[in-house]
Amino acid sequence: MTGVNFQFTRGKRNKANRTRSPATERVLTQLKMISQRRKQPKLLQVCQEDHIRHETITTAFKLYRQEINANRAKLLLKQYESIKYAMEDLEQINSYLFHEANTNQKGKRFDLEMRIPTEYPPNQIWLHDYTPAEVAEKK
Amino acid sequence: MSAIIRRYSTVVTKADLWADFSKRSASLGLKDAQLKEALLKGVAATDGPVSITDKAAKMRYASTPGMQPLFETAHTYLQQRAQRTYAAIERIERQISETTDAQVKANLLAQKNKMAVSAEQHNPEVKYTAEYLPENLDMSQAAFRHYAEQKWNNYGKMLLMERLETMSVIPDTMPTLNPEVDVTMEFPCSGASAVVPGAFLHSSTTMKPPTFTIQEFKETDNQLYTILIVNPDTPNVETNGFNTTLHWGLTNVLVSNTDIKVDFSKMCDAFGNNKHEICPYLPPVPEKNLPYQRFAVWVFRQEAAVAVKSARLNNPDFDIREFAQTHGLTAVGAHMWRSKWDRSVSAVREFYNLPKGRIFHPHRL
Repeated sequence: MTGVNFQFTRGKRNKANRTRSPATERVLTQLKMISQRRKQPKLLQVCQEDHIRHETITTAFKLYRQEINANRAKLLLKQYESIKYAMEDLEQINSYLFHEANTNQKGKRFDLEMRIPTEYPPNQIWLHDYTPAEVAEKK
Repeated sequence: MSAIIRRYSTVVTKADLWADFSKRSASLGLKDAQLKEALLKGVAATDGPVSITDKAAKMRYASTPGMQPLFETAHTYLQQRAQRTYAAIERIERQISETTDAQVKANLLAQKNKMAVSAEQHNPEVKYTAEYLPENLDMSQAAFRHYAEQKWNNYGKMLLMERLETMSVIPDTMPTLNPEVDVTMEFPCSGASAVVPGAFLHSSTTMKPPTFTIQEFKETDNQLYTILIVNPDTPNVETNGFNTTLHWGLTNVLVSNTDIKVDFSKMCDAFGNNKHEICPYLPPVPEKNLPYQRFAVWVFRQEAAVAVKSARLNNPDFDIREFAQTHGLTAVGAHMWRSKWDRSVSAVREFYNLPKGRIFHPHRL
């Protein structure tokens, strides 16, 4: 960009008063397109009433999500406590079962040959009430 | 968007707690009926927003489409939460009336105040008033006090502490401060505008005593305060140092949440007598060729009414820390300004019958 003439001209820019070559103009336009100023989101200009209305909606949604998350956290805590007490009881009753229940199952994987790999899982996983046709005929 | 509304509108049913002013203060609602309608029912496409006064801008304005059903759902949901909070407040009030333990009672009151804020702070009318109509804030309402305190915390409080610490008013006068009240100061000659903490004031401006406002953010009705103005920069030639002078002192000043003004001229009777002043106002009269003097205003909360023994008040070195300790005062707010010698100092001295000022050697580097 050396040698670019940045001199400004008074009034509207047109071909007569242009100080830069068309090629330079093109480069400058392209640079302006990707400038940081364009990347900033435009400030929303809403009136005072709409601003408060918007805030009310977002606050209500935030509080609603908070309520749901708090309830979920409460439920999970309850479940965890319940499991903890159950395991404590199991330890008292049968230490072998307790040990088995707590062994790390790292490396254990689901058997890939149990079913044929597909792009999408079928709607009906397996035919649970399948009976061979021939057997039915014999009867 | 309609799917969102359908999904969440199942969790709310109709409620109109915030439209009912039989139990709630009328100051929690908007007085302007048109504005209220625009806020709750949406900006009318034909009239434009009420808050915009320019006619062309009013006509040009286009409100976000589809906001109204979302707003109604949100408004109802928030009101339901507020209803639950009000029920909890009633329960706490019953507990307060039953208990006799002072500590438990104080805890319950603090809890109640917190709940009173959360019951109203998301009310769009309250929010609008707090944000855009600050002169209409009814400080007897906890929600408005909450918004005012937030605003003060974000600017005024930080500015005050910055000025007190950078100009060493802390620790030259009091050891430290945990600001709890917003103190503003105004001189009768300062053009009816609040003084910014640390500003340089002309001695003709500070000739007459200032008026203060003390804004409490917790619930108070009959709280007493002591206000002291001290100058830690009075030159002492004998010791080649500085003394602290008490310039003005007021005690047992009554301030509540709504009546926040401290105007000395209104405390005096027809003969100019009053029972609040512990020493008459001494205007700043800085000496020529000395650096600027700091004038620190300290506001103390009193446990009860105090009787000041004015034995020392004219002593050349006033000990503000000892004064606060002996009278059981807690510093809750402060203010400060600075003064330098100027051409009006001699006139101020003459007006108050003060001795002629001294002229020090100019300090050259």
